[in-house]
Amino acid sequence: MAATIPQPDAAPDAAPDPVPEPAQNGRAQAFLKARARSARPSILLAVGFALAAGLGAIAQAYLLAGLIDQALAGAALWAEERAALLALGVVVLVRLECGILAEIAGFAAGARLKADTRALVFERLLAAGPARAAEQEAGGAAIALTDRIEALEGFAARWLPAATLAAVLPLAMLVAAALHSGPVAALLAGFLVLAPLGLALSGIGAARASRRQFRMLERLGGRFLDRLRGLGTLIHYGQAEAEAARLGTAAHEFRLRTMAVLRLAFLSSAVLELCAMGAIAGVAFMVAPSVADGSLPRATGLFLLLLAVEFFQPLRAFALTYHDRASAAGAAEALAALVDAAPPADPAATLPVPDAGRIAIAFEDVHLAYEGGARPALSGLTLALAPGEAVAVTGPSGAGKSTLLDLLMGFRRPDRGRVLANGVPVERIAPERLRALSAWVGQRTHLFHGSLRENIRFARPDASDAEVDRAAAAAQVTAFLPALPQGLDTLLGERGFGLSGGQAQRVAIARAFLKDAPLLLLDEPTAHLDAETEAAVMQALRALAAGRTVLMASHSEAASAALGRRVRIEGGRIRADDGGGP
Amino acid sequence: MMPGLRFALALLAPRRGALVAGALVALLSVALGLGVLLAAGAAIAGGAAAASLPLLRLFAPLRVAVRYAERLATHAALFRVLADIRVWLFARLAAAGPIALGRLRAGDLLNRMLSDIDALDALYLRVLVPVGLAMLGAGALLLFVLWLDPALAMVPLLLLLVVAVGLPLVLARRQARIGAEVGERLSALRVDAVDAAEGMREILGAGAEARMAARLAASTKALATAQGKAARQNALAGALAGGAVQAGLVAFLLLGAERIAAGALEPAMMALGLFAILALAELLAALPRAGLALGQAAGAGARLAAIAATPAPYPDPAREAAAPAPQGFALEIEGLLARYGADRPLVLDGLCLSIPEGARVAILGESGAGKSTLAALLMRMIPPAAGRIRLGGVDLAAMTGAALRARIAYVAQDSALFSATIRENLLIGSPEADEAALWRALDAAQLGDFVRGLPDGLETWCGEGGVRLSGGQARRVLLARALLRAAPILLLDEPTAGLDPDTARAFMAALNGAAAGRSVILITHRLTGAEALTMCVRIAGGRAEIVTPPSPPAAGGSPS
Repeated sequence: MAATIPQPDAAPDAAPDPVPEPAQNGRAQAFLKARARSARPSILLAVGFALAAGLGAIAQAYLLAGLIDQALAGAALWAEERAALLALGVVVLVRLECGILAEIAGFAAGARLKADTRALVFERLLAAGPARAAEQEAGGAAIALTDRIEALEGFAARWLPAATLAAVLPLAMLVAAALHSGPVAALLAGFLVLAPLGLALSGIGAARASRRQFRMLERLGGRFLDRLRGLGTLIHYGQAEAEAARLGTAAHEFRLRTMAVLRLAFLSSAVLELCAMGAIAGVAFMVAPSVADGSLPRATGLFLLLLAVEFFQPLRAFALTYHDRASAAGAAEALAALVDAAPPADPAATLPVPDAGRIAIAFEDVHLAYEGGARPALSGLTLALAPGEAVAVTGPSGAGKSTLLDLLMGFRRPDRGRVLANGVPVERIAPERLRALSAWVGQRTHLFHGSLRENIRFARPDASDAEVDRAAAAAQVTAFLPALPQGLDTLLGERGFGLSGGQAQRVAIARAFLKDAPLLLLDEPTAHLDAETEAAVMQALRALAAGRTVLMASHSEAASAALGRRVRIEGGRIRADDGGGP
Repeated sequence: MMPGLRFALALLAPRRGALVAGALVALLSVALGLGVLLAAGAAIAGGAAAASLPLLRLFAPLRVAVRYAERLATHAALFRVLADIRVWLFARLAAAGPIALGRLRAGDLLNRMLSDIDALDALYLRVLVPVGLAMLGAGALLLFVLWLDPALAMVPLLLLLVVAVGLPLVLARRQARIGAEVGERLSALRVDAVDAAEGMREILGAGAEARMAARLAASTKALATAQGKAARQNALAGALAGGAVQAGLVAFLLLGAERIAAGALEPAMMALGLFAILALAELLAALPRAGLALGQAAGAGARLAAIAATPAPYPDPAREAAAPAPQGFALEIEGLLARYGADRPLVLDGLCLSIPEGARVAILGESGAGKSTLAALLMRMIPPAAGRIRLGGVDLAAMTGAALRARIAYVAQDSALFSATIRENLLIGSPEADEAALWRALDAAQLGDFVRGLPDGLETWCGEGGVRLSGGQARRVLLARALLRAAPILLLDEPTAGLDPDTARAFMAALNGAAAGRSVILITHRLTGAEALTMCVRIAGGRAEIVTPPSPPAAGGSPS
């Protein structure tokens, strides 16, 4: 028998956390269901094995009841009941093995769900593009790809199998009980009906309470992280101790409120406990007199009692997975929003770009607004770049400079007007083909975890070492190599060596040299550099710009002056254009 | 594993009263559950219905009530502990100083630290309480069976040795190793996820979508392999323990039947022993699985211990070594050497600089040149490797951090507003400031009219869930907060980062008027052109060179 006294729980079970009732959120549910589809074979396997283990428990109870009966009668078990003993041994072994296999299959289901969802989320993140990702919370995409997706595991691995078992196994036990005693089966059936009813009633109360408290709790909980992040400021202003005291008070309040929610939430597990105890006691009261007066064999009475003990185990196990579902639902809500945010691919984007070695660009009366039209970025902008022409766009923040670049990389689409590359509307060009036309250097360059050489080769994985070396030399990366511990093989990125802002920009320029695209898009490439470094970076950029069409957004006078034609935009349109003259 | 565990236990210790009380209620709950099953078993198997059914009527409802109480008691105790630990950790980090904190922020270790604190609830709920109860239960079972019939005592004794000692010992090392492997794979996945998310433009620009997706899939698979090992290990541990309990049950039956046949044991007594084993089966079978939770708690404890042990990089001088108060607020920097670690290159290499009272200095330099290091040295966050800084004639080494911070109001590069009202944010600068002082500071930062125009004025909530201040407005609140301090020196690190040129110039203009009578030190990678400076310094090669007139005038650009 596995199930007797539930251990003093493990995870705070049945509705422990003050999270809003996840069932309220249809989108999260739909997302989870759709995602779990590919994991269905493993889930079915998990359910199948768990079901076999559960049925084994019934057989085990039956055999054990007979053996106990014989043992109490003082029978020589080994001599007389060898068959039953062997059968029990086999049942126990099969049951334990099925339990292991069910757990492993459940894990496989969770792993499948996570792997598929991670691939999907990444694909949709890319489809939505960096421009939209920037509107999300900082670091949101990385958290989505890691913690949020990891939180989905329990849904497929534990919750779904447990939900199915809780629905099926008690029925099988009812049948087993009914074969021996109608009244006992009726009693168990009665409690079985009562349990979900009680769960629902107390669950509704708990959900309402937790929704009411949720905002307050969230604010109090978030406060700790907020103050921790700003601890430096608190130290510098001598406020750290005072804030620690205030945090203590807040934590005290937090605890009182959480307990208020839990008092209600735990009621639902109390209902389950009540049913479980009721079933055991009820069977004992029903069966004991019949066994005593001989109308019911003792073995049968024992079997019914063991069955009653086992009866609520699937429901209890199910209640324990509430935590899994709640955290999965919370994660799914955020993930669903992310996945839905990406626009569908445009099947009409199939046009080739003629004469793709040299690119002319034309913006014709382009209008574009953010936040569903609330924040206009471009309002009727017209600008043409001849092949090989370099244009610097200046203007205040929010004037729409970066939007121009986003349009040319296919990260945004104009609401009205046209953007043409060699006469072809960019939205009619397949995104990957459009991006193959250009190389991009932004304000800050992301360095990937890997060597400096790999970071440069990122732009073109099939480039030879000699080509990478040439690009590094052209971008003046070679100038700072002596300062790195292993030259081009120095590890960079998250756990690697940090480069200074100017050095990282030169890596980006080396990437652009290696990509050798006809169009160069520069988004304030020197914004974070001091004047001297800026001059060095601009020198490398001028070398890169030779023979290419260049569009640069910049605040910097020095950077703009280094390029050629200067254009100023304000309020989403061109306000000044020096036409390339001095 | 042991030091981490010892540390985790020490964190729980201050509330041991409440924790033990919760465990006692849990013990009562287990005892009542045992009672229910014993009474029911005795009624059916032992033919003792008359005696045991009334007991059952008492135990069953009590058990429901006590179990509810148990949940509340254990959770209440736990929340107390977790709240304590958070506050304690906050104070500990405050003592370690901003540099240690900066390191934590960098790797998003703060979030991991919070989940480490939460992992300690597993130590109590999944390890200490169930293991304690299982041990007590098994011990009681042993005594009970000894009393029933010493010849049967072998069974519970062996059972106890197998599930409580043998299996955990055999499994513990493997569980710990697998746990560590899962942690490593998860970190590797995190690195890839950050690359995938932050490097999106680079990925799309290079057409590297498929390459990056393959990298993510590979690290996902590596993590799943490790997690799969953990799952199998966990399932196996559970099955082995379950099998041991079943074997014990059958052995008890076989031996017991013989004793009954020999007339040495009453059948009713034997029934009690049987149902006692049955009642404790789940508790006992869960023991080996506790190993995994124990390993996790030990890991969390070890990481928290490492954080707690972070030494203050520049402790205050002993009281007797403390110098008299500085005379005035001129700063003298002589031959300053600084490096982050003995094996790292020098960031500052003999920097000399003197900043007279009331000076307005811009400190320029490339990123990585050592500007922020100089700020850290000025704020006494790190000690210099050599050289000295004097404030009003007193060496910083002889001053306490608090004394120094009273004289230099610092706005760090990563300063942000707290999730709180504007008033609360300002009061962090000076808790005693009255209403008039707050408005004076806001007016000086040229933000007074804006705040007066807000419907809630000073009570406006900023930060998450509150009003969204623009970058320039937020910077001005930070400036007003610094101005509220009576410090004669204002040290601002990249105060205009992220602001567009017009906003940056307006901010500088506000600063020019606001800081009258104070020294102002601006650390910036470029000038806006609106600064009123008395001196301009460029840090390069670890030294300071005075560049006058203040850098090329076109550096910030002017509206064309």
